[in-house]
Amino acid sequence: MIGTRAIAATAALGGIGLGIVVFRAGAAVPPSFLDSGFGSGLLPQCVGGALVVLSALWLLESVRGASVPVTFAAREVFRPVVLTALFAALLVNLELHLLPFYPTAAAFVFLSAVLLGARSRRGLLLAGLAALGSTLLVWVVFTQIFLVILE
Amino acid sequence: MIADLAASFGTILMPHPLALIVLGTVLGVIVGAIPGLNGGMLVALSLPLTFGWDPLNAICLLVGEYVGSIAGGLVSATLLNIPGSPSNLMTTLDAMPMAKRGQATRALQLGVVASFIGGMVSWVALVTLSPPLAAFALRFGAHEYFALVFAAMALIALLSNGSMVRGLIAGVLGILAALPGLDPVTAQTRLTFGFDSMLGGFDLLAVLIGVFAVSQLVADAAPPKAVEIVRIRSGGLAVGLRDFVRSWFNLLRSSVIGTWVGILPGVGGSVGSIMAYAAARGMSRNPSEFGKGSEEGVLASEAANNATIGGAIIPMITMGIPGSIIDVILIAALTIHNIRPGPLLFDTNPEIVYGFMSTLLVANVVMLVFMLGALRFLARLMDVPKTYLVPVLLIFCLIGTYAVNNRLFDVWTMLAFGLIGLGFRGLRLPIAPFVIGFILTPLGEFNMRSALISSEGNWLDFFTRPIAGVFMVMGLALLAAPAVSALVKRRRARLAGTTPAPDG
Repeated sequence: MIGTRAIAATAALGGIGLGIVVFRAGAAVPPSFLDSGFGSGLLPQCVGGALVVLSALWLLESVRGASVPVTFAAREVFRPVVLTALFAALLVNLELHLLPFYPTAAAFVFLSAVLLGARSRRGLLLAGLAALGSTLLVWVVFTQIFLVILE
Repeated sequence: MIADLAASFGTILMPHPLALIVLGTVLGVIVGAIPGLNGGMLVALSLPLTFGWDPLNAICLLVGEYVGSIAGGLVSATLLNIPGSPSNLMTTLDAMPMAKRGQATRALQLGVVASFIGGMVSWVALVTLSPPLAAFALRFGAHEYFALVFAAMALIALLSNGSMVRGLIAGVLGILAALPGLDPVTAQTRLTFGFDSMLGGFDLLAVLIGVFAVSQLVADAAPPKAVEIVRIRSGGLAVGLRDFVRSWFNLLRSSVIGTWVGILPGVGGSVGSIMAYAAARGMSRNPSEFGKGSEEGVLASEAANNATIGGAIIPMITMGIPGSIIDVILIAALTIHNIRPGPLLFDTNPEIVYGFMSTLLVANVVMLVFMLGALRFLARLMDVPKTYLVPVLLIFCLIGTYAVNNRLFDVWTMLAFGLIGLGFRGLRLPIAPFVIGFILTPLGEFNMRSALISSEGNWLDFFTRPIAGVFMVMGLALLAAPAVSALVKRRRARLAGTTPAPDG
């Protein structure tokens, strides 16, 4: 099993760090003549400060074990992590214009379906049909009807 | 008002809007019935489709989906013991035991009719309470709006599942997500870290699709746990009028509880159904039956959770404050169509106000007819494999988000907030304070700073103006309540010579 209180404590520490970053970013905003008691940078400073304090309280809760524990097995996160990586790869491809979008979208659907369990002959066939069918539908709806061009 | 409402019915009962209500309700029921998919995801994904539509048609589709998805969750709650949405949690306690002893059809039909009755009671509240509440809200100025937002966010954090610290963290993160970009008063850039893409902040739709849809879909990729599916053995009507007449008080009480809970900002169906269930058990002649297949429990939970829909729409259209997290998406839909929800909506866009009212009624009727007629089909949905659905829906998320501004930055935003939503699930941080903080921050900050400009920096005006003062004191009291309660408990325990149990 992956960590329990350790994960919540790490997240709380991350919250403290984020709060400090936001506080400093807010402090860097110059004052304006329109401020009238509450400047542009003051809300980020308040939010950053609140985040530091609340994250510290959360850290205390985690360390004392009062938090609801985070419990999940490594095999439970494998598929979501890989799916996210595949999706991110699709976006990187779109960003860098490496390969045409629609074939890569179809490949994403197929590979994701295989990842999620479509490994029998029937499953692979259905995954292929889902990939082609959904990509075709998206192409028709978004480029022919909504005139959205991705590339 | 009656004439306007009648005219609205005349408009939405035309073929096109009516078809959209039917489509939305049916889709909502189907999505609500499939475990792992939820109404928030469906409504968020439907938003991009409605860009070029008439706002009233968009409302017909989205409200239909809202109503259908809450009701549809009853199916998986009964047949799989998995609530289709958090609102159906209490339904699982009694519907599944009923299903296991061969009364699946009866449990489903009781739940469907109870959902309809709850929806109708909240519709009456929506029609009767909205106009006077909007008239009251017309007296709101910048001070009052800020104070209302402050109280709403304090309430949401207090009533969130889990500890208040986690609720406040989620709310603060939601506020933080709304800050990057141009300052609403002075137009100074803040929290952009040098990125031009951040000048406009995070796009509302990208955030909502990420948090609601992407996070759910990625979570659904995890290996499914083995579940027992109860099959429906017989079709036909398994309930009669007598079943509802003898439970009329339970149905009415649960519907009223659900409606009032729905009015509270950000609280939603789950709290409504929990409170109604608890009240039903407390007043039942057979409280020991609850949790073992009590029909009263099913009726109470389902009446309340659908009643929250109408209740939640009340603060949304009268004050622009979302009553539930799906109302956040409805506000986004109105914003996209350049419509500002609030008391002036009754004057500037009355067709939208009465459109919500008439659509809610028709959607409830469509839900009743469809679900009673298609229970066997809905039961088959329990077998739908997510293997093919998840990747296809992710592509739809990508396209829908990109179509908003034709910017890949929005798609990256969607993915980032999807991972944040996933992190929230894993860390047991509540989503409601986050999304409501995100959508209310621009309203709250703008009004706060406008109020300070008009009062020349005098903070006391927030407390000396009567309405604003009441909301501010309420908000502070809500924030202080857990600490005060803990102190009182510790003091009592010290006096009694015992150790108090920890909270949260």
